[in-house]
Amino acid sequence: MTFEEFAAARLPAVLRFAGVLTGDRALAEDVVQEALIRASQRWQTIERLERPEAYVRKMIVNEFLSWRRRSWRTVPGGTGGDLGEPPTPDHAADYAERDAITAELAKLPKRQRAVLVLRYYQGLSDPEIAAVLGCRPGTVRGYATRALAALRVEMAEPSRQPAGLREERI
Amino acid sequence: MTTGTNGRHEGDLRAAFTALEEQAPDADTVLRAVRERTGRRRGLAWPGGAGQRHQGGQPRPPRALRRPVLLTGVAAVALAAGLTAALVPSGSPAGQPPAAVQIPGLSEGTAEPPITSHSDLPAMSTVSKAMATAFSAADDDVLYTVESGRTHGYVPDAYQDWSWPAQPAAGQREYMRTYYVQTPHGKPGKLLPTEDNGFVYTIPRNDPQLVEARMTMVCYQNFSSGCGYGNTETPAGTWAVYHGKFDNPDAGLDDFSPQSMAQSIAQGDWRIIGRTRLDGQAALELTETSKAKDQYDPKPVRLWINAHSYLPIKMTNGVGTSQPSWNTWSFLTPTPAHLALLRPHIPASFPHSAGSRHGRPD
Repeated sequence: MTFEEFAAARLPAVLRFAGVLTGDRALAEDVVQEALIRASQRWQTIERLERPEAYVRKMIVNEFLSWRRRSWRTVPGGTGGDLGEPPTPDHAADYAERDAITAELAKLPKRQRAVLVLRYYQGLSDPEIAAVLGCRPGTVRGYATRALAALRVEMAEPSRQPAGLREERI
Repeated sequence: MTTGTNGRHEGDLRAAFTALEEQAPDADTVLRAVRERTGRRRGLAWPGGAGQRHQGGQPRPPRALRRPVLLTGVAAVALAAGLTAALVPSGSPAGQPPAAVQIPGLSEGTAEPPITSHSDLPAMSTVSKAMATAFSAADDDVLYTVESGRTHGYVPDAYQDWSWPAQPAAGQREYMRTYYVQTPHGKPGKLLPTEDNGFVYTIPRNDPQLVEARMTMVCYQNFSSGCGYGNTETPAGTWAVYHGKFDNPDAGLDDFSPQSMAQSIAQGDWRIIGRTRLDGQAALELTETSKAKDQYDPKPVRLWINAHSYLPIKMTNGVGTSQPSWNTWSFLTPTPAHLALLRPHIPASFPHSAGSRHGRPD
């Protein structure tokens, strides 16, 4: 698969992932742009990988984490008012709750946010997330615990491992 | 979707993420920028193409993990005095700019001492066993860790954590404190306090999601209107104490627990490079091997351990890149001065707040 073919086939999904990861269209654009420039330069290596898309997403995660390291708390919470139309009809209370979560997600440390996105949006296991972030699974669990506590999200019992949400696993 | 008054669940989080897909940038815009940056006007840029950027900026490393520093003799006394004097933030009188937080040793950051000897190095199996033993001997100490990094030449933030006992056992009362500082707007500047929180709870015998705890939160006014933790919300410029159930902090169970650290050394994740001196201590310098399952990125990754006790001193990764990071850790004897560090500092000007709780039932 050439880089062109990759971009044509997978870029929309990669861009959605970046949008969720960053929560900010402009930042997502910057992050994806930087990652794709590097990916294009290494494409001969990347295309030989079993899952090139997973590698590109990992680059995006790393780029996001490096982007003005730890600017949480300085990021305005946002109201979620620029989220556009939701994908499905919903109730007003649910909108408010979703917007509230979105605003609180923006305040999380980047690494904690990345863990939540990889867990609950990408559906990765903690060991898989650890591989993406370059840390140990126990650390992933620690980040997730802190993030969920900050968001006041209760985890399903008894497993801490969420079911996969997306087919496009890293 | 569940409303906030009844607690949030994973489904709420997933729904929020789905909504955030709307933040996906426009594909044409991204591709156009990539083409321009890579010097191609048509098509995308490929390996070997003209105008490639120098491969300078590597992906930023994961924020590495927390470790202790063994302090002995004079160094320990000096640091203890420095900690007591310098680590505790002071509140700013009304109308005064907030005071910067000074963290001892932070300026050294990623400085790497020269190797003094490549000979007479212990076997890794010896290091692994000795480290496990050393951790056991220090399990009743106060563990102090600093986790920070540098981006484009400045330190944007730092975590300091204290926990006691350092390696708690089930049924023990555990004290934990986290003090987070950062520069305004993620730009070069003074490190200012963001929040300072302390936990007291009993280490559970199993691994429950929630534990009964007392949490003290001191929320500074420098960055936000309030500090949230669990189902609590503390207004900025105040402090509050909460009693109830919180997510299990999992004290002593992170990746750099004695067991996991000794195990990673035993299984060949690290190798010794040589002998050196760091922070006044005779030290062994280690580097991560290619055998390690979860590699740190970017390289290089360095770990220093005390050459006598085999306890870890410091770890760095990404030195030489634009965004290196490092962790240091200390085991402090549980003297009254050190135990006092477990309590969040409450500036005199901060009023007590009742705070607020919502969502999760206690």
